[in-house]
Amino acid sequence: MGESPTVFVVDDDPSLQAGLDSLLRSAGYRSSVFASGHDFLDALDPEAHGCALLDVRMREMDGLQVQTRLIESKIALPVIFLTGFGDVPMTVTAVKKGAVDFLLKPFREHELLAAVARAIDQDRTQRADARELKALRETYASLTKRERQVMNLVCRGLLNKQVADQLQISEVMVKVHRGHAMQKMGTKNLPHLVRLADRLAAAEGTHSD
Amino acid sequence: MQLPFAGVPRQHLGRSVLCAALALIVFAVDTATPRDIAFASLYTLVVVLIMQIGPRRLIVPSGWACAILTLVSFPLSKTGDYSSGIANTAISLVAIFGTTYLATKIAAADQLARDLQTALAEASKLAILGEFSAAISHEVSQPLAGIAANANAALRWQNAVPPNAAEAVAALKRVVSDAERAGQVLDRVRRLAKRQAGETVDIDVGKLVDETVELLRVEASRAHVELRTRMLNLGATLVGDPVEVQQILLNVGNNAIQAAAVGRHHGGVVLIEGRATGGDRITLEISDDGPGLSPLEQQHLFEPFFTKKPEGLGLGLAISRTIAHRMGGDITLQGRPELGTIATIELPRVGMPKTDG
Repeated sequence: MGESPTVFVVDDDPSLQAGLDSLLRSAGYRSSVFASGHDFLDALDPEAHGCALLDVRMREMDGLQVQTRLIESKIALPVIFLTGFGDVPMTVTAVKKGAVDFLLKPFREHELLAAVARAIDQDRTQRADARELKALRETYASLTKRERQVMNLVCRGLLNKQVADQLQISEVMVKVHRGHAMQKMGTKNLPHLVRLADRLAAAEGTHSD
Repeated sequence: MQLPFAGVPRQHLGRSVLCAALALIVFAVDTATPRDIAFASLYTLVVVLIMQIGPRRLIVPSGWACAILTLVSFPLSKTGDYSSGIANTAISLVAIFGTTYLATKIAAADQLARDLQTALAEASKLAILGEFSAAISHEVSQPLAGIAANANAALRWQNAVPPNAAEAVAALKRVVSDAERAGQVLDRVRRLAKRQAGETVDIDVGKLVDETVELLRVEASRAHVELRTRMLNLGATLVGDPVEVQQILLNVGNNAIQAAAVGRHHGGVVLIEGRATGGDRITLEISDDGPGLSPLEQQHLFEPFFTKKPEGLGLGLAISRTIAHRMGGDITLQGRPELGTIATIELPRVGMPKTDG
């Protein structure tokens, strides 16, 4: 968890590969280089964080295929493409599939470093979001069935009295369950609770598993 | 009056004499036969013969010459009915002038067809130029990207506190080797550019194939097709225009690469094989393991504007074959569905293979 982010460079041109590696390290990044997409995918730890710098055109497996394999393996590592002359159609496909950026060779140093910084930033945000969501789900799972029912109805905008009616319990008990739920979810006001519930619902919507 | 045959180049002289002899024979027979026999209409053969084998500008003068001979022969003929003789002479004259007119039209149409063919060849040269630019741009951008990355890295290592000289030097060494790599690309381009189109020189076939293969590699790597070459006994030289021979190889080679890539992501193979055959010919075979040719394609592939590719013009093979024919060679395509296609380029050779290495 505390590991610093790594830039994974995949390029089959030895000089460019070494140059990128050297440049990234001189700018303070950890870098890990691979001569082919296969090598990269075989060695990649699914939990690795940072970003990937892929050459679009490589002999064995092109950058697009590497990107597709990452997506298939549900690895959300942000991807930056290095493209050459005449690769425009491939690049368009790559961006549509979610590439963070693409750099036309020969590219400028600050373009490269800015793209890498953005990609790592995106990775960090993605991971923080994922962690928060995971915590939120765990907390939600720790609520009792009643507390979850009360929370959901309250978040839908029902008054305590209406909740009591619907669940066939007393208004006092509604207040008690509601208090417990808010305490466990770590919030003191209703608007925040509603936002948390929305976030959970949105995540359920995208993760149908 | 200037003689119609004055200033005729030497190679036309023999043909012109042949035409003149034919005209004189017609004249002699026309004079000897009775007036009412329209033998003079056979002067049209002279005009047609000139159209077929003579220079184009002699068609009209020869028409006039035949007309004059017809008129001259009329008073010389002693026998035959006079009035029907006049009518027959008139008919002959109409036939001669009519034929002359048609002959000039046909010759003009032929010229137009030739001009168009030249224009087509020019257009295809432009297409080749586009391909060159793409190949050069790709080959130069690779080392340039390396130079930029390495030089920037070296600067950063040098400016770091404390500076890391070892890293900086390693990066700078890569800058030097990349600069050399870029220089080699430019050298190759310069060698290509030095050749003027239309220039006829001794071509080292093996070298030309190597250079062309370098250009084809860009397309091959894009299509994930493996490119192999096998050159046997090719110390031989061709006499011709290297740009044109290269044009043939690029056209046929690109077709083969595209065919080998059809319907798969990886694993297509194109083999370029060269050998000297039969003493006086060089054979270059370009084979792919693509889907092959259907009987329909086999029949029409060399026709202009026939193409299998949505973005293709259908001119590459037509132009390549025209060039090969002009050099005294030929191109044939042999394909079997599912087994790939073999393109055979045959060109006449001049000069013997070098016996030493």
